[in-house]
Amino acid sequence: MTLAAEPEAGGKVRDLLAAAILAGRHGRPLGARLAERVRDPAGDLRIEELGFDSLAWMEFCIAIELASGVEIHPADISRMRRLSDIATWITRQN
Amino acid sequence: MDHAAELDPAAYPALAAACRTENQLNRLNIDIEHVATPLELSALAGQARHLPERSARWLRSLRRLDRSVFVRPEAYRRTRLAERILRYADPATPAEGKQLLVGFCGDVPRLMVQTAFILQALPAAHWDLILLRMRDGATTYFDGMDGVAPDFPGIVQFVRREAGAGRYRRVVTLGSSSGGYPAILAGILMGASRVVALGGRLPRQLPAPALADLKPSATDLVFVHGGDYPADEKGAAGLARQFGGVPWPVEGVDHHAILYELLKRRELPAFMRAVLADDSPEPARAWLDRLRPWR
Repeated sequence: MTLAAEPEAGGKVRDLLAAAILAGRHGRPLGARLAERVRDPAGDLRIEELGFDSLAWMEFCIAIELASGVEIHPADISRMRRLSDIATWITRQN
Repeated sequence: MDHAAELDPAAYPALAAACRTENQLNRLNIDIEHVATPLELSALAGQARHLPERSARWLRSLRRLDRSVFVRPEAYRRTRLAERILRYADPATPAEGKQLLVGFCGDVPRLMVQTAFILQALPAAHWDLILLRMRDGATTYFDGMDGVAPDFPGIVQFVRREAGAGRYRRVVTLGSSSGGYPAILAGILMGASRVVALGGRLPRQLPAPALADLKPSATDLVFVHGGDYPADEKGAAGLARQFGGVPWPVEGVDHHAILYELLKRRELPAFMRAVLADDSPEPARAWLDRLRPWR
């Protein structure tokens, strides 16, 4: 998958994040409200709202890399606060 | 790809060296952690000098969690009963006289901690383990398992037959997280002596009444949860209302990963002996009456 420049990138990055979150949850879907906030580029989901442990974050990062070729690690995410921070970081890698 | 399905420790150095990124190596290592035996992890550590530093660092982190895996590994060998059903047994010890633990993983394809640590906590001379894992992306066992059976009773029959459950002196089923509820139903169907649900709860969508309405007869049910984690305490209470049985809080645990906490405390073997009621000579009800919160 190729991430294009803004604004088109916003939707694709959110799709990527949604899929990676699902991978972190080992296929268990998010509740409807949280899923909506993940999809919304204006959403301001705090990272801890995902309730991920270290294994889940590794699965999340693996999914991001497999789908987009962008390498991100749990150590990178530990310095971020919101899902939008991850989205911005991914967009800037491209 | 399930790297660990045919894990050969001798192949790991080449597999690890072929990983170009940290995430690729994490994928390999995570999949190995899901299935590897203590002997296999110990063998990997024996090759440390041939491994990339990242791999050696991973093995050191495992060693910090349970050094005994690398010093005196329990003699389990891993074989495959089906794509997602593994058998762990010491072939030198016959089934007769041993106890059989049937483990149902939840969304995460491990029983809360690396499989080798579960095995290390169960003496291989006294236990065999059958480990069921849902396929990637699945969230239930109740739709059956490919290559095993089209429904849940069929899965249980498969396990009972292929594991030779009747040969063992005692059968216990155990499930972690969303594997807890299927473990309960499997335990009832198999006539298990005991069922243990770790952080389990009633699912949002119950299976058909023929399963959902099952009630245990002679089976003990124990619902373990973090003593300071209200979500799982509520889940345990819900299971107790449905099936009877006993919630068992683990004090000082305020999150879902109970076994990981016990592993860090170096209490996992003692806890497993207690919660599985290994060799308890008393009638089941008397033993349950004496259950106290685990500290």
